[in-house]
Order: sequence, then structure tokens, then C-alpha cells
Amino acid sequence: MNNLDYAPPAVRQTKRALIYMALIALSGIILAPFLMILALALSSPAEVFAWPPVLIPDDIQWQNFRDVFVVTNFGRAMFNTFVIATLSTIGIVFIDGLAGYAFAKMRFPGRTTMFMLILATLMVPVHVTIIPLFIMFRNFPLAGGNNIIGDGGFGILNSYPSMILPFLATAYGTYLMTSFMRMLPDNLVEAARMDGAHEFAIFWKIYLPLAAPALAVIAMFNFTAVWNEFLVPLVMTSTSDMKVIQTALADFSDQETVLWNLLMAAVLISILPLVLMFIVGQKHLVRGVAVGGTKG
Amino acid sequence: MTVAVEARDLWKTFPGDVHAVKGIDFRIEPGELVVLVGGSGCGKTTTLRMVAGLERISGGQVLVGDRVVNDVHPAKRGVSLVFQNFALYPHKTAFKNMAFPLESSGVPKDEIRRRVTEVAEMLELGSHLDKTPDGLSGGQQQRVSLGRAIVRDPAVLLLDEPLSNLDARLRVVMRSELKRIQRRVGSTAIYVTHDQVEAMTMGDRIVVMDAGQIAQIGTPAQVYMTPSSLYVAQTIGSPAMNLLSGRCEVTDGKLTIAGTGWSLTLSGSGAERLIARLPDGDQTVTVGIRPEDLDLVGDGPELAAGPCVTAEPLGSESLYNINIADDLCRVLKRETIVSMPEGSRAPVHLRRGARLHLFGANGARIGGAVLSEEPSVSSWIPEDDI
Repeated sequence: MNNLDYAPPAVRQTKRALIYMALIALSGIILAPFLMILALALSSPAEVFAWPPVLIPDDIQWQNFRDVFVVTNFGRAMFNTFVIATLSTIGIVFIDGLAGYAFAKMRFPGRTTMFMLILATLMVPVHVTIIPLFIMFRNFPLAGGNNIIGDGGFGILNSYPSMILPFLATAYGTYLMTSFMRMLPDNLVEAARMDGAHEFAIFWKIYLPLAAPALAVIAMFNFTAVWNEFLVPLVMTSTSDMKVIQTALADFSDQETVLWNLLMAAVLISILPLVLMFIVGQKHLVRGVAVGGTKG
Repeated sequence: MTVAVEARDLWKTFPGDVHAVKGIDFRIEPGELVVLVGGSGCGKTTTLRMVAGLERISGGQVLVGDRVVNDVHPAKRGVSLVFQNFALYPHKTAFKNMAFPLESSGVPKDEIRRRVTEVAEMLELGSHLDKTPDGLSGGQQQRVSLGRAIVRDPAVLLLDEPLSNLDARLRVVMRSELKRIQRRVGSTAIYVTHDQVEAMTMGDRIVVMDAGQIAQIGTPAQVYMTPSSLYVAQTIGSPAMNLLSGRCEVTDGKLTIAGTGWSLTLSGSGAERLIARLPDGDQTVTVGIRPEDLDLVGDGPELAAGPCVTAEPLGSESLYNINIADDLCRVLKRETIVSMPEGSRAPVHLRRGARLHLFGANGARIGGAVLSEEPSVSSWIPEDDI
């Protein structure tokens, strides 16, 4: 792309000023809800419904952040979310990495067909599969009071596996890993084979470390998706000790009232780990997304 | 430990009935460095990969030592391979690249450190062991790749065009370096290249391959002095041999060969020997004369004359392209300053001691003869007597 601008300096500066103004306006639109959340999280119940809205509360209510953990079992929900997001992310990095390696570097009958089938599942919304998943998990043999054919109990519902298994492999992750692995030279497989490495060692010691940028993207996307997941935990769990952040947020409201200031404080607490993760992993994210977007 | 490598009726057929290697046989003696040379698609790399175990053998056998290794895993054949583009692991340091084969075979850490350090010193890589490949120059990457191959102390070292990714100057340096290291390590080595200069300078013996078959096996001197076919004559030698088509005529014990714009009459025992070997019937032949066996002056027989199209100073030598009936005849003179300006008409003489190669219509060698060294004598001696 040619970035050279041959317009006179005055025109160039005006153009640039207009662009900056438009960008600032857009940023404001995007940031407004977040600023509102912050303002509400620091407000007293009285200031929540004040008109005009209070952007900087007179008396900043820091204790709202403590009360979040007192009023509800939000700490447990955060822990649950952290466990399922972490375990599913580890699983997805491993499984999508393996799948990407297999599709990119191994030769086997039906490889293309299988890859196409996996890609086709991108078109199936997760909500379509939620009921079959529920039935499968409920009838999981020899778990939750079930007999060998999966009758008699509630299977693996109300457990971590019921919230981890649906996220253990994704079509997008497989596609991204396959694209990335295809870019890596094939003769490393042969070199490693000559060096005496077996097939799994070639994947584990050579290709997986080289695919770190793509793995970082998959890990971040998946961690965020599971962290923010509402439907699967809602359907798969019913006990309060298995609640995750998104279902626990509902505890700040009942039929009559909503504790807006505590709800907003809880929201702020819940997005903090994601923000930190994106700040740390931004470099890998950009590189990995660029790869996934341009190759394949 | 050094072992022999043998190929017995070796075949490689790819899907679609494409025969890349067609039943070749060779034996490489322990400690020998043999070069497989030939043009693109001649089957040299496929042969090497079959010996390495990276390509399944369609027919025949590969033996490393006394053992048939057709169905043996590459890592268990006692062979190691240096790849054309080095195939270094980009995320590992030079040390870890070289240590990887030892780690894979479960060698203790202390032993790994000792062996890698020893090999690195031999390859003058001692101060680069903590660098990853992108921090190394082409020559250093090449040496790490070689180090990774020899650190396992392989019985057979396979090298697949290892110098083709280096610049011309480095290639010359690494050529002698590779030979020195192979001698020091003592492994039997198979070296694949399309560069005939590399083949000539590095090989104890050369295997010239053509369309999946072996065209000739011999020492560099044998292959250069007595090419078995037109293909070998064209492949080996730089600048390439002059090949002139003509017809033979025998009169009074003399052999006259003439083509468009040139002719040559041979007499003496060399001519008699060639006459005896001439095939019956078709007398169409091709005469091969190396550029260094021709001169623009001298008392040797004049082959032809024509305008000098280009005169190329090569440094210690100059190469002249003389147009003879729309074919270029190459003449190589040991002179730094060009003595024949482009465009001027030049006679092409045979030098004293010039070697003439005669090929039949089917491209096979009929024989050769050497022009007498004695001044003013146009007699030819049989090549077998030299």
C-alpha cells in the first residue's frame, strides 16, 4: 500500500486532525459503557438511579468490591470459572495442536474430507448441540449414580467435566493450527525422524514450540470464551457451588430488586483477568491472528 | 566404525507408474566418499533418500554393512543426513540442535555435553553454541547441520546438496572443509550434487546418473578422461566438452571425420584402434574435444575456423566461443588478458596431447585417441596406451 501523501502540509494536517477527531469520538462510544460500569461500581445504592447520572460519585464506595464476595458466593464462582477455563484451554491447545499437526504434516486417507467436515462444524451454532450434549452428559455411564448403560442418575451433570468437555476442541482452533503448521517447513519432520525422534516427540518437541503464536491465540480466545460462557454452565449445572461467573452474576438480582452497584463491581472484577491476559499476550495475538487470516 | 553401502537392483516407483530409479547397483567401500551427480530428475536425491530411509524402496535392496535395511527405521540404520536447506530446528540453539539426536537416543546429559562440545570444536562452532539458527551465518548453519549429523558418530554420512544454499565463495571454502571433516570422522559418505565441480573435487568416485539409471561410475579422472556416453561427456567438465556431429570415412588406414564447417583426419595407431571399433553401417558419430584441448594458435591440426563470438576472461584463463557453422566451439586458453578480440576470425587448432572422444549414433562411447606430443607430427595414440 502506498502511504505517501503529496498534499500540501496544511491540507495534510487538517486531514489528520479530522481523522483523530473521528477516532476519539468512536473511542468515546466504545468506552462509555465501561466508564458507566466503573461509575456504578463505585456508587452508593442511592446514586445508582440519580439523574443526571453520576460519573464521579461524591462518596466513593470501595467496599462494594468487598461486598461482592460477602453478599453472594462470588469467590467460589470465580474459582470454578478459573478451573474450567484453564483446564479447557490446556486441553484445547493440546488437542487442536495435535489435530493441526496431523492435518498439516501427516498423510492418511480421508485427510481432506475430515478437515472439511471439521470446518463445516463452524457453521453449526453451539446452541443447536446443547440439548444433545445435556442428554449425553446425563447418561454418562458409571458416573453420578448411573449404571453401565447410563441410567439411574445424573451422569456428569453438575461437575467440572460437563463444562470443560464441550470446549475441549474447536473447529476454529483446528483450522488455525493447521494453517500455521502448514507454514512450518516439512523437512523438520524428516530431520527429526533421522535424529531418532518418534512421531509424538516430533510434534511435542519441534512443531508445538514453533506454533507458539498460534497456540497463544487459541488459548486466549478459548479462555475468554469459556470465561464468558453462560449457556453451557446454566444448562449443565444446577447447584450453587458449581456456579460460574456468568451464572453467579444473576445472584445480584431477584424478582424485585437488582443490586446494580454490586453487580457492576462484580462485572469489573470478572473482566480484570481477561484484561491482564490481553495486555500480556497482545504481541502473540496479533501475530497469530495475522497468520490465521492470511494463510490456509 | 566404517561400513560399506550397497544398492542391489534398486527401484523407486512413484504413483502413476513413474520410475524415478530403475534398478541401479553400486557398492561404496568403507570410508569412501562417493558423489551422485546428474541433472534435475535423474534420481540422485531419491536414491539418497532410499538409503536414508525417508523414501520407501519399491524394489531391490539397500545394505549398510552386511545388513539389509529396507525395513529399518531411518534412525536405526546407522546413517545420518545433512539436508539441502540445513533443516535446523529454528527454536533450538546450535547446541540443542546438535544435542537432539543424542537426546532422542537417550544418551546421558554429561555425555551429550562432551560429544557436542567436541564436535563443535572440530567444526569451529565453540563460540556459537548458544545462538539460534537465525543468529548464525549460512556457513555456520551449514556446520551446525553437519555437526548434528556427525555427533551420533554415524557409519554412513549422507549429504544432500549441502552447499547449494551457500554463496559461491563460501561454497569453495566449505567444499574442502566437508572433505576434511569426512576424512577425519572416517564415515562412509554419499554426497548428492548437480554441480560437477563439486563432484570432481570431492568424490573418491563419482556416480553419474541419468533418468534413474547409472550412466557411469569411476574416479573423477576416469569419468573426465573417458566419459562412457555423450550424457556423461556433457555433464562432467566445465566449460562443457565441445561435441561436433559428423560422419566417418576410412581411407588408407586414416580416419577422416567431417561435419558442417569442420573436418579432422586421424592417423597412426590411435586411428587404427578407433577404426577397428567403429560400428558397422551407420557412420554418424559425435566427436568430443574438451575446450582446454583446443587452441587458437599452434602447430596442431586445424579443426575449423570461424569468427570469435565472445571472449571471456575468467581470471587465470580466457574462454573463447568460436562460431563454426552456427555452433559454438569453446576454446580455453591459459591467459589472463584476452588475445583474440571478439569479431575477428580465428582458427581452431588441436593442442599437442589433445584427447579426442568418439561417440556413436546411440550416444555410447566408441573410443578415444590422444594427439602425439611430438611437434609437427599428426599421429594419434590409442587412449588405452596413455
